[in-house]
Amino acid sequence: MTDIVIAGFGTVGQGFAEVLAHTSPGLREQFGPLRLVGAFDSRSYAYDTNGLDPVALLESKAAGRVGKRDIPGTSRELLDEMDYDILVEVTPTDIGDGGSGMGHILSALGAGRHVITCNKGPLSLRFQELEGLATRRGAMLRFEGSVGGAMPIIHVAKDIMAGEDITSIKGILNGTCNFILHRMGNEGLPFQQALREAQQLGYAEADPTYDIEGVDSACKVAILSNAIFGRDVTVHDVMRVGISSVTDEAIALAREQGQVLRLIGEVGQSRLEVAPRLVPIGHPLAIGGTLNIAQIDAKFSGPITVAGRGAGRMETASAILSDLMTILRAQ
Amino acid sequence: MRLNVDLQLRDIPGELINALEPLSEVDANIAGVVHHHDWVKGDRIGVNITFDICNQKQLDLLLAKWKQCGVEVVRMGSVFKTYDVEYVLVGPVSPTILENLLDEVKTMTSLASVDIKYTASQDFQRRAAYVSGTVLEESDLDVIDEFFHRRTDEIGLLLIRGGVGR
Ligand SMILES: NC(=O)c1ccc[n+]([C@@H]2O[C@H](COP(=O)([O-])OP(=O)(O)OC[C@H]3O[C@@H](n4cnc5c(N)ncnc54)[C@H](OP(=O)(O)O)[C@@H]3O)[C@@H](O)[C@H]2O)c1
Repeated sequence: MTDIVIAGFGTVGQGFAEVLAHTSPGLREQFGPLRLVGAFDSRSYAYDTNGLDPVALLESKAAGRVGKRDIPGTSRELLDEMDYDILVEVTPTDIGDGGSGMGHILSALGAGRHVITCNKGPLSLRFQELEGLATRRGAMLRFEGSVGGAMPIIHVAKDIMAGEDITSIKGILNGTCNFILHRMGNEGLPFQQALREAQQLGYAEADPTYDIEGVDSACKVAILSNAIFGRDVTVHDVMRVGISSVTDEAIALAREQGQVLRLIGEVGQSRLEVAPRLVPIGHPLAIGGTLNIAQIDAKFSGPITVAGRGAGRMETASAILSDLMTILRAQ
Repeated sequence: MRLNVDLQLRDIPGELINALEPLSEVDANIAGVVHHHDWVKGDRIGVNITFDICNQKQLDLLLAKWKQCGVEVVRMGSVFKTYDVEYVLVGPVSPTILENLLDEVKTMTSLASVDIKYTASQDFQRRAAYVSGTVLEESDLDVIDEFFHRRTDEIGLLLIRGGVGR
């Protein structure tokens, strides 16, 4: 029996609750029952050591709140009181101090519980400290969904390519920016119009600053640098240029030379950056639409390319499920 | 080092293999082989080969092996490997600004060729320039990147680099 708590019951938290409601019999046979014992959003919580019904929680959240009870004190204090094996931490990313997610992860790891998170804040601010704490307490910290949603980059680079000498990772790590640059290139739209279109289609937030100024991509670059290259950097160490100054003329000029513009995140020997770059048409990173894609370059294998949907309720929940499998297999 | 040689071979079957075998024996890497059927001289035909070899000692060994098997070297020269640089600059960029920047680049790097294209917009902020060129030293790639980063930042231009496929 594995007991799980979900911290944050928004898009991703609810997606994972849905996954738990539909786990296959084969999975239960192999690893025993997976039991959701706790869940909380910003105001309310549900907790039962005998197990909660994920579908009932989804219905309750659809009506406004995940649990009947208000959170007394802070959510970290609440979590400290809960008994569970694995925390799924999916509260909002905060790159100021890591937000409430930082406290949740510290609480869980400090108590020797495994953590799966997609929250980029703690990982792009205090990664090595959290990894160190996990190691000391014999817990696992997994975060596949934090970079590129369903795109399995961390697992490929860290586990499948273990032993390789990875020299660089370059990639499109934000689907919103890629959609905008793709529309500007294909339809000749000015930036503001392509952005409005992205907002109407639900790809961009009402306040798109975090995406278009490259902050979201910079968080992912910092996480890759820490997790794959073993460095100790924060999102603030990443050299960052967004796409808001890219003009239709620049895109047309690039196109005449057989190139497209893409917002590329790069971790290399001496580089840690996010910037709009020229990419030859036909190159894997010239991909259009909202997909995320990354090219991992290594000494023996040469370039390996991974791609996938960078965001979305079930896509990100699928990355959490893959982390869950890794933890269960290791036990 | 990368070298390019013109060889004269006897026009009989197996002669090309005879000429290529010594290259693999000295661990040279063949980049290209071109037959010149119009270079016939008596019973000999011409072949042009481009290859990479690690040092002078290996090259001397190769020349000795060719001599031994009757392959005649009629010309030998170095081929310079070049590295591409590519940028788009966005914002109020003028030919004077760009030429000044490139003059500075030439004094500090091995920039060998350069080509510039501009968009024709009257709107300074939307204007863009495409700069492409080649350098002879790989280490100059980072030097030029760093220079353009610094200077475009000072001038207030957006710099878009190439080199993603590098
Ligand atoms: N959405 C994606 O496709 C995606 C992909 C990759 C990574 N991520 C990352 O995953 C995380 C979750 O994303 P999301 O899209 O699910 O966000 P979301 O829809 O905004 O949901 C966030 C949830 O966290 C809750 N919350 C906020 N503050 C809290 C606190 N102090 N304590 C407990 N719960 C709190 C919110 O409560 P209320 O419901 O009461 O507001 C909400 O339920 C973020 O860090 C995001 O960057 C998301």
